[in-house]
Amino acid sequence: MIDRGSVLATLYRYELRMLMRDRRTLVVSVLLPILLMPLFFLISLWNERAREERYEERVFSYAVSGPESELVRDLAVAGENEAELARLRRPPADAQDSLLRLLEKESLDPAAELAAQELHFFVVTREAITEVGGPEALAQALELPLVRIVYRANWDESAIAAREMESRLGLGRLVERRELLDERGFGVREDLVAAIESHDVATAEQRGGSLLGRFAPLVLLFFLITGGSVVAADIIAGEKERGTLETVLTTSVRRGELVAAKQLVILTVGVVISLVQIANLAVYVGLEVIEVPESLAVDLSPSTLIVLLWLFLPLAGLVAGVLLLASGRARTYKEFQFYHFPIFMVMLALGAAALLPGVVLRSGVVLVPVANLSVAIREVLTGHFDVPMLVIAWTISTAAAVLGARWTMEALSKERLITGGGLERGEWQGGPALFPRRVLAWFAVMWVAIFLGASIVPLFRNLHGQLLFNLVIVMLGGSLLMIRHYRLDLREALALRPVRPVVILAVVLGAPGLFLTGVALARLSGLLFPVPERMLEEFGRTLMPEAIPVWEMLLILAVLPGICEEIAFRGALLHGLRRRYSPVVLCLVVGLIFGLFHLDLVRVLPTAFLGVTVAAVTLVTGSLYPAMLWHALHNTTAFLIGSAGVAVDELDAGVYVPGAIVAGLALTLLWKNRTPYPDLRRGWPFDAKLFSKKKKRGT
Amino acid sequence: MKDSTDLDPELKAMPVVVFQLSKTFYDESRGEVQAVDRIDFECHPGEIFGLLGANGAGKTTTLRMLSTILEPTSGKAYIQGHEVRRDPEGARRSLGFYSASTALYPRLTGRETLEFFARVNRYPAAGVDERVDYLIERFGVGEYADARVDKLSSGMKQKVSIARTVAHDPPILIFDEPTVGLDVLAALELQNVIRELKEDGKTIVFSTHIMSEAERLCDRIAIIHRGHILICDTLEGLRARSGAHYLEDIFVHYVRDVGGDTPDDAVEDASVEVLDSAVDE
Repeated sequence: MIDRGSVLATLYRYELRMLMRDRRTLVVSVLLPILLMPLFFLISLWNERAREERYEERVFSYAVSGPESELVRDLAVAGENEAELARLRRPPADAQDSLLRLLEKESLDPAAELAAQELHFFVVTREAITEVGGPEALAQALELPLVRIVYRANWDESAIAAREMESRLGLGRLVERRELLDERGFGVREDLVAAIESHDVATAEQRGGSLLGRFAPLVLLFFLITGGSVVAADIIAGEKERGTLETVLTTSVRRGELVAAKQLVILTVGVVISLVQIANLAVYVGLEVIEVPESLAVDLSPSTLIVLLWLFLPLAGLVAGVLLLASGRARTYKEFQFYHFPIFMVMLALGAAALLPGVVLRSGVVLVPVANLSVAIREVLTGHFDVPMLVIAWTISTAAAVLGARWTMEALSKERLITGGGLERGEWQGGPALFPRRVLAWFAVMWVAIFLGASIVPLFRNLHGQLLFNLVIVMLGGSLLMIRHYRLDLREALALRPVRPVVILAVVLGAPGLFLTGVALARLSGLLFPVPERMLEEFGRTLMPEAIPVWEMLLILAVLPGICEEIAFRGALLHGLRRRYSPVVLCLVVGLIFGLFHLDLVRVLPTAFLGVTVAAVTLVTGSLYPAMLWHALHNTTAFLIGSAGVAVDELDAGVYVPGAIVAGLALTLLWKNRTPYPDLRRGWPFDAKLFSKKKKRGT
Repeated sequence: MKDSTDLDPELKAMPVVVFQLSKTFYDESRGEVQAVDRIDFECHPGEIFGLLGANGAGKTTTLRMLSTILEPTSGKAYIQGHEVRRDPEGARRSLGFYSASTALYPRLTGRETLEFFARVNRYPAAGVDERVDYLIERFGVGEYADARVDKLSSGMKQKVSIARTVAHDPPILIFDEPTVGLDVLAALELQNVIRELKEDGKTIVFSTHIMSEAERLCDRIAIIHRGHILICDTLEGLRARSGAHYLEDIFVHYVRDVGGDTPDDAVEDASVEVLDSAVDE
C-alpha cells in the first residue's frame, strides 16, 4: 500500500514547484546566467575584433638614433618587404589582413617620449656597453654594429610594435646575408636546400575536440555550481531558517527520501541550466551573432553525445551532492555562503585537470572525483574512448555523489541543526570518543599529501625521497599525531599485544604463500581485465633501481613499510573504524583505503589484497605485530623473487598451487589460535560466544 | 533491544508509552546537561494528556523525542506500538506534530500544503483530494485555500497549520506549546479545536506552561520539572493528593517539594537552561 516512489515523487514535484515560485532564485540561478553568458562571449568577441581593427589602422611611431641608424632603416625596409612577400604567399585563410604600420619620427629625447607615450619604442645603435656577455659582448668582440630596441612591456601597443620591429630587423638581417652570399658567389636560397613543411594527421574535429575538451568541463562545472548553489542554499539552509525543515522532519518522510528529492532538484536545475546554456550558445551561433572559430569544429556523433551525457550526469550529481552537503551542514544561509567559495575553488581546480598537458585518464587521476570526469570528457571529445577507465571514473564520481547524499542525511540527523545548540557526545568529550568520527578525514588529508607529494614535488619522485616522505612523515607521523591529538592509549590504538610463537610460525609460512596466491589471482584477473604491458614495465623500473645494495633495498622496501604502513592502516585506521563496520566490511574498507594510497593504478588492487589480508590477520590475532611481520615478509618475497631475475607472473602452477596450500594452512593455524581484536562490532566470522560479555552492553 | 519483555501487553496497547526516557545534551559552556531524566508516562486512547512545566523543564525535548526529531539517549518511547528509535517512520506516520516552530511552506497555497502533507505522510493516494476538501471545510480555510501561505493572515495560517497536522488523519496528535505567542482569542480558538479533535477520537499530548490552559483542557496532567516527572494524575487526583484546589498551587506544592525551590527560583533556573530556546521563548 505504501508507495515509496510516490513520496519521493511528491517531494520532488513540490520542491520544484516551490522553486519555480521563487522569483529571486530563478532570476539569479537561471535567467541571469542565460543572459550573461552570451553577453560575455559577445563582449570578448567585440573586444577581440576592436583590438585587431585598432592595430590595423594604427600608426606606431618610433625613433632611431646612433651611428648605425641607416643600417637599421635598411634592415627595417628589407624586413618589411620580406614579411609582405611571406604574407602574400600564405593561404588566404591564414593571412593577416595587413602588416602593422610603423613610422619613424624625429626625436631629441626618445626615452622621455617613450615614457610620455609619444613614441611606441625607439632603436639605439652602438650604445655604451653596460653588461658583460650576451649579444652586446659578442658585438663588441667582433666589432659589429649593435642594435637595441627599447620598449615598455606594460604598454600593450609598445610591446606589439617593438616585437614587430624586432622580427622585421631579423628578417632584414637574413635578406642582407643572402645578398652578401650572392655577391660572393654562394647564392643558395634556404628553400632550395630542402622544402620543409609539417603535416597534421588529426582531423579538424579531433583538433577542435582537444581544444574544446580542455575548457568544456570547466565551463560545465561553472554552470552547475552557479546554478546549483543558489538552489542548494534555499532548499536546506533556507528551510532551516524558515522553520519548515522541522515540519517536514516530523512527517513520515524518510531522511533518505528527503535528501534524494533535494539532490534530484539541484541536479535537475544544474542539468537544465547547462543544457539551456548550450542551446543558448547554439542559437547565437546559428544566428551568427557569435562566430565559431574554425579551429572549434567538433564531431558530435550521437554515440559521443550519449557518452558525454553519461559522464555529465555523475558530474552534475556530484556537484549537487557537495552543495547539498554544505547546505545540510549550514544552519543558515549565511553559513552556507562561507562554504560556497571554497567549494567553488576546489571544484574548479579539480575540473582544471583537463587543462594540464599530458594528463591521461589511465593514471592516478582516474581515482579523483571531478578531475577524472573532466579528463574523461576531454578524451571522449578527442575521439579517444578508454572504456574500462571511463567506467572506473564514472563509478568513482557517482560513488562520491552518493556519499555526499549520505553525509547530508547524517547532517540532517544532527540535532544541533534543529535545536540550535548542543554538541554530539563525541564532539563534546573530544579525545578518544571523537577519534572514530575523524579518522577518515585524517586519512583523506594524508592521501592528498601523498598525492600532491608524488605529483608536484620532484624530490619525491626518487625512491628514497618518496618513501621517506610517504612512510615516515605522512603515515608514521600522521598516525602518531592522531594518537597524540585524540589522547589515545598507544598500546591499545596500535594493538601492541604480544603473540604466541605459533602465530609467528603461521605468519612466516603464510606471507610468502599468500603472495604467490595473490600473483596467481592477479594473473587470472588479468585475463578479464588486461593491464597494458607498458605500465607493468614502468612499475617494475620504479620499484627496482639497480644501484642500491640489497640490505638497503630490504630496509626501505620491506622493513620500513612493514612498520610505518601497518601503524597507519592496521593500527590507527583499523582502531578508528572498528566499531563502525562489521569485521568483514572493516577488513575490506581498511584494505581498499590502503590500496588507494598506492596511487599507481596497477598497484591499487594487489596492495588492497595485501591490505585486506593483514587487516584480517590483525583482527584474528588481536595484535599489530603479526601484520607488520606479514607485510615485511610479503615485500621481501616480492623483492627477492624480482631481484633473482624471475618474472613472478610467469611462474607456473607448480609454484602457485603449493603457495596457496601453505597460505591456507597458515590462515587455518591463525584462526585456530585466534585471540580476536577487542571491542569490535559484532558480525561474522566471530561468533557471538566470543563477545558474550559485551553482548548486553552493545544495546 | 527486545521491547516485548520490558512492557506488559496492557501498556503496549496504549497510544503513547514512555519508558525510562532520557536525553542528555552536551554543551561547550555547561558541559553535560540532563534535559530529560528517566521519565515514564503513558497516554490513554482518546484523552488529552498535558505536560505542565516551566520553560526549560524538558517538555519540548520530550515531545521532540516522541516525534523522533531528537534521538533519546536512553529509554524507550512507543507511538501506537512503534518504538521511536527502531521504527521512526512508523511512529511519525501515526502522529501529527504541531508547535510554534513548525512553519508552513510560504510558497505553497493552503490547498497544496494539505495535499503535500497528506501525500508525504502516505495517506492513501486515492483519497487525498477528498481529504483535502474535507480539511478545508472542517477548519474553515474556505476561500483562502488557493492563496499562497505567505499572503495569509496569522489566524488563517494557524488554521492551515492545524489542518496540515491532521492531514493524514493520524490517531495521535502532539501539540508543543501551541498557544505561545497567540492573543487570547486565538488561544481560546485553538483550545476549542483541540477539544474538537479529542471528540473526533484523537489522543492528544499537549505541553504548556500556562496553568489555566492545562486546567481547562487536560484529562490528565504530568508536572515536569528539571527533566523529571514529579507527579501524573487527573486534576481531581492531583487536588486530592496535594490538598490544593488551583493547579497553580498544586504545581508550586510539588515543585517546592523537590528541592525547596519556590516557583520563582524554578523559573529562574529554567531561564538559564535555554536548551529549548528555539521554541520556549
